[in-house]
Amino acid sequence: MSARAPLSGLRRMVLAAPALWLFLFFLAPFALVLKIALSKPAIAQPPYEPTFSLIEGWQALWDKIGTLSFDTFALVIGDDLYLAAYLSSLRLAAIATLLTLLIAFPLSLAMARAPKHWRTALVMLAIAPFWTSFLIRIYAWIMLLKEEGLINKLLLSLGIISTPLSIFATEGAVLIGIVYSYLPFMILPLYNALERQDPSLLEAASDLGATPLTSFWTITVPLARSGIFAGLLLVFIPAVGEFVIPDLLGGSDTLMIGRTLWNEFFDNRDWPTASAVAIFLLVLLIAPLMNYERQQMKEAVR
Amino acid sequence: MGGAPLLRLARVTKAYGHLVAVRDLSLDIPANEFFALLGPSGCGKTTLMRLIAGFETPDDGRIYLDGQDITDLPPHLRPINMMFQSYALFPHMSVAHNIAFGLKQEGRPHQEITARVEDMLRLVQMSGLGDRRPDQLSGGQRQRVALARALIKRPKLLLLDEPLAALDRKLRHDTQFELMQAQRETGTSFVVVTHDQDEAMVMAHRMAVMRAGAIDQIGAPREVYEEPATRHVAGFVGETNFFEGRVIQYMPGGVEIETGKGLRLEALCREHPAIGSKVTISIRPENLRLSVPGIFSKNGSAGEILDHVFREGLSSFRIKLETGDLVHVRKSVGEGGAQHKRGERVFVSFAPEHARALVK
Repeated sequence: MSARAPLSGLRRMVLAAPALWLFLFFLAPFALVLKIALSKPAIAQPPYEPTFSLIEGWQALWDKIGTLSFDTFALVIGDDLYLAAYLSSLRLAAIATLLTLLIAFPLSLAMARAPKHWRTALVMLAIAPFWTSFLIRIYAWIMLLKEEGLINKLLLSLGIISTPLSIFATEGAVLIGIVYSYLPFMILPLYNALERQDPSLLEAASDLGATPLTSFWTITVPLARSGIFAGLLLVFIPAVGEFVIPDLLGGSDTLMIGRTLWNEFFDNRDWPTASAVAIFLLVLLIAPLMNYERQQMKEAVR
Repeated sequence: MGGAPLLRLARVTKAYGHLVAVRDLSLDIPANEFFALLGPSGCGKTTLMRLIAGFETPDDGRIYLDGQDITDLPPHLRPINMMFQSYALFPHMSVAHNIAFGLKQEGRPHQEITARVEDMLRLVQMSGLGDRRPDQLSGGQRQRVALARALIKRPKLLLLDEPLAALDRKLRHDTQFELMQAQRETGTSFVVVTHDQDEAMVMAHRMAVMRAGAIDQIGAPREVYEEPATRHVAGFVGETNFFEGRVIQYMPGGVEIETGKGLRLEALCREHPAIGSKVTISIRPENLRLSVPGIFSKNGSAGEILDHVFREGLSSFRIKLETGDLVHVRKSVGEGGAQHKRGERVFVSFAPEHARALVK
């Protein structure tokens, strides 16, 4: 791979395929959303103006483009409600992601250290929840968490508590929902990273005088770094924009940006504001992704 | 030697399920010795080494270091270090950090660690390469880093698991002498586990030849080569020719046997097998004589030279005897190794004092 040969036709096509995909399903929709965000809300179909067409000629189109403005962005920035929703989403997603990591790490470690012939079965078990619908599983959590739900009934009957816990419709319920739903996305990259580790490295550390705890922090964790990064991103990014879980498990005071977005679109029919909120969310999430990408590049160069 | 040995294994047994890897094995290793554990794969040598390092616990028997019972001590508390066959270098740490790892666990001051790492880098001729990462090193350099990392704590005993297996032939040859030098300079006892008898012969002061979880023979390489205790040792350490037969009479210091094909041969014997019992005579290729048939008709057989290979100043012959046995003969040029040709008929014989009759 030293000399850079001119790309053959086939190689060009192979490289063009993902570019085309990205254009059709990411850049083009993004441009549409951006255009809506720059428009003004209207009581019309579609509920914003201007709408671009060439029916009235080029000049009219040009005039319409001139009416696009960043007013909506200014509005979103200026309104504390959106800022609070963003911050609350980031906070909940961050807590949920860390909890997921704390639960997933020992599980992945146990899976990676299990006898070889068990491992495939354990991976299958880890992703088994995907075999049922996401919505059904979240509804099931409602049944579990409600005041008259299974968990409270069990704890009451065992005499551990005397009054039912109110978990349902709180941030706690949202956290439980996110951790539960995204756990496999944390386990898989972690397991992959841990399973590849050479067991003789731990023996070498032990042989050189490291206690099991020291070995864990100086060998196991640093070598799982790429898996930890991947897992954190795979959980954090969708969790920030999560809509279904806070809507079903959260209370009326649970503020998350996904829900705000939904409200703007469907309750207020304010598409420009909703689009601006979505674009901010995207920018917010792309930053850590770019950072991760840079990390990976550095790793690859080494 | 005098005094207690550095390492003492007392009747150690280790089994995995039904498989007994090490069976009732006792072994003493003194200080400042280069010791080799030699045997084919599956003979239990690796298990024995892992027992000494502390990665396995014996089912029975005790292990002593400097007179202290270390049987139940976990590996990180044993003053024994090990060089792994895969080297097991920490891929996320620089060479210097790898080497420093052991001292850091002891909580040594930073300055001392830096100085001793420098010393170690010098010992293994890697000065100036401390900032490299393991994946930026050649195989030979990794081997040196692994050695330095294992030696920096100045262990009383260093275990080396197939230390040369991952190196190419030329490098292996040079590294053998470097390991011997490192052992002399540090005064640490080295225990090398290897399946390669050449390595053991070159490097070790003493060696143990293992089979099926037990030691067949312990001794200096030359002693083991010249006086093999069992058929397995004779065949595993160096090349040899075997003649199987039954004892027909006792000779001074030896026996005379008759092989199944009617060949009568004399050899020294350290044991006293009964008349009629089965023994095997082992005779090294360099101890076989070649002569013109008919002149020396004792202790040998006529045969035909099938192949002749000349290598490193030695002629190797493969000869088919009249009895059908194939033998291997090695002669230096000075011994007339060049004068025999393929297809020639020769008489192959040996002096009884050069051959050993083995009972086991």
